[in-house]
Amino acid sequence: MWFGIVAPFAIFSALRSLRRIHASDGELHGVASAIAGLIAALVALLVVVGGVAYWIAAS
Amino acid sequence: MDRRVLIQRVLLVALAVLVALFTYPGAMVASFATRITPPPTSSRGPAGALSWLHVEHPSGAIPYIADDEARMVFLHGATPASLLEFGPRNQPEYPIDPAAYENGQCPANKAESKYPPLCEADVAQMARLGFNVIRLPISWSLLEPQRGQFSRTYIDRVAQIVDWARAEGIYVIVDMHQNAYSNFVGASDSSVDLGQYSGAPAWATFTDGLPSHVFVKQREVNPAVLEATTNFWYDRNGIQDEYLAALAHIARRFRDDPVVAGYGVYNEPLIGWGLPPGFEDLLLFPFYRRAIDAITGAHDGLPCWSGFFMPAVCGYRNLGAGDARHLIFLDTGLLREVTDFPTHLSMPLSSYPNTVLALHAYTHFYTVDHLLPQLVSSTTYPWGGYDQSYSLGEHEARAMGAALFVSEFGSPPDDDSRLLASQVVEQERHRTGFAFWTWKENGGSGAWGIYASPKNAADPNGCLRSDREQLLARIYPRATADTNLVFRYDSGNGSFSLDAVGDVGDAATVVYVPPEVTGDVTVTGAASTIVDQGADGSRLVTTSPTGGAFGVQVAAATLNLTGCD
Repeated sequence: MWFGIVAPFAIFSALRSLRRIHASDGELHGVASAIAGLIAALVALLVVVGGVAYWIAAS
Repeated sequence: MDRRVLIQRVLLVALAVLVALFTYPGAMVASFATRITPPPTSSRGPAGALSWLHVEHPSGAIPYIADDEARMVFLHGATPASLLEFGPRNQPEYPIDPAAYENGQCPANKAESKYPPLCEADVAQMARLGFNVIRLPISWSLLEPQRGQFSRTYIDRVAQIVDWARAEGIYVIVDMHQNAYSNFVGASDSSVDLGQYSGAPAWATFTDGLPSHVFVKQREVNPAVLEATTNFWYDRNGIQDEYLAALAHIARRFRDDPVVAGYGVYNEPLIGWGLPPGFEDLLLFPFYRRAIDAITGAHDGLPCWSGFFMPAVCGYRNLGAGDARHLIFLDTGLLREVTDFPTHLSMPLSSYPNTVLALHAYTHFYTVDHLLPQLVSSTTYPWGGYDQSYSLGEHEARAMGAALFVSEFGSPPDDDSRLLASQVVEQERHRTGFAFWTWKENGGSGAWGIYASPKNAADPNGCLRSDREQLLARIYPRATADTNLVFRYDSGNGSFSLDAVGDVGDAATVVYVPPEVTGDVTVTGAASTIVDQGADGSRLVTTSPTGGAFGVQVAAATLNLTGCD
């Protein structure tokens, strides 16, 4: 859950990193790491949103 | 694309999938998959002295414990703790050979033991208070003193108590108990009172050399305890597998016995070095799922290895107990108990339908406002008062697909009018049963037993505490077909009212009236009634609806209390 709560910041950070990498004309590397971080953050966000939604609906 | 880059990306994706499988995404998939997994098959159990209990799952409502006629069943009872092994003696407090208790025999009480022995007369005393359930804590250390070798004598002793209960019409919850993990964690200094510790055998206690020292006067806040507990959750050296085998061993013995209401899987699970909600979501509840798999043969979770850490997605193999009929009682985590607040968002747990979320309700005693008064004030916490734990517990149970039961509550006797009286009112409002902690206890006037600590050390108990008799020997519906019924017992004057609705042909609502209550019983509305008088002076009011609303009332009258002050 903690990962889900900080996920929006991770998504923001990953997108920002990707933008900077693309703008660097090859000077900066790490596209794969940034994408991996972005996916992990999206999954974490999905888990928390899904979990909370289930809790509200089911309980 | 460069071959090397391709391999890197494939490996990265594989790593991401693996991490997801081992963590929350895997845990969630395993949880929600239980909703579409067929439940384990069970034949109708052999008929016995008592109705088989199960959990009903009404649409849109909280699941509840039910009997063969699908009536909501209320369990009231107590928890005798003398079958536990404590330190530092690390041996049974009393004989575990059933022969020592046959024909009404009872070993002499030992003042140095925290609890008096549990004997046949105790079960009769419980029945006299109107109790219909015994939560029977047992120690893993006595059940499996050597790895892989279960004590036949100890489980025979449990069976003996089940037989006593059968004779009195009382259910038994066999509870795998622990306090601060184990009585074998050692004591590095005088801060540790091993007389308060019970649970795992020595061979399953890995403290890794950490000091056994108690901080903030709480036995659980002890590095050795936290380390040993963590090692259990991570299945160090296969000890969790052994625990599951022990549970299955018990289930194998009692699988055809309806007097055993079910099994308590693990008392007051301690978080170890973990943090919520990861502890609950990734360790505790997946462990519960595996326990259910092992006992019932449910096939939840993925087939995995055993013998070392099993991630949340892992289920467990069928250990051949073949018990897909009993209730499985699942305690909330200990942190939930001390906060009266959920430490995680419950998810579906198992395809097995007969699960019960077991609350321990110690508001204002073992909650943070009492444990850490300098940080949290009792005037403001719990925010919702005594109701908070129950209301939230209902949400948790419903999200899990489990019934709700208060498997522990209690208080020092001086606090009865405040703590105990408030808890029983909440239990009525939320339609939960209870098991009071504890039945009898040695240790002077502050001991928590329903009976006072004996003045003569060899006696099995002192007198029945009249305050507790007044609060716990209650009028209550034992079974009802109306799951929305409302009832209230006033322990001050013995009056009672119950309002329910029923159709013609619905199963009867059965109300128990203890011998302490002397007021007249009247039944109003659309129902026919039979009142049976018990030999002990209790009354059983059986009300069969004839279509429409009906009520049961008991008039206020002087209580006939037999206890002493």
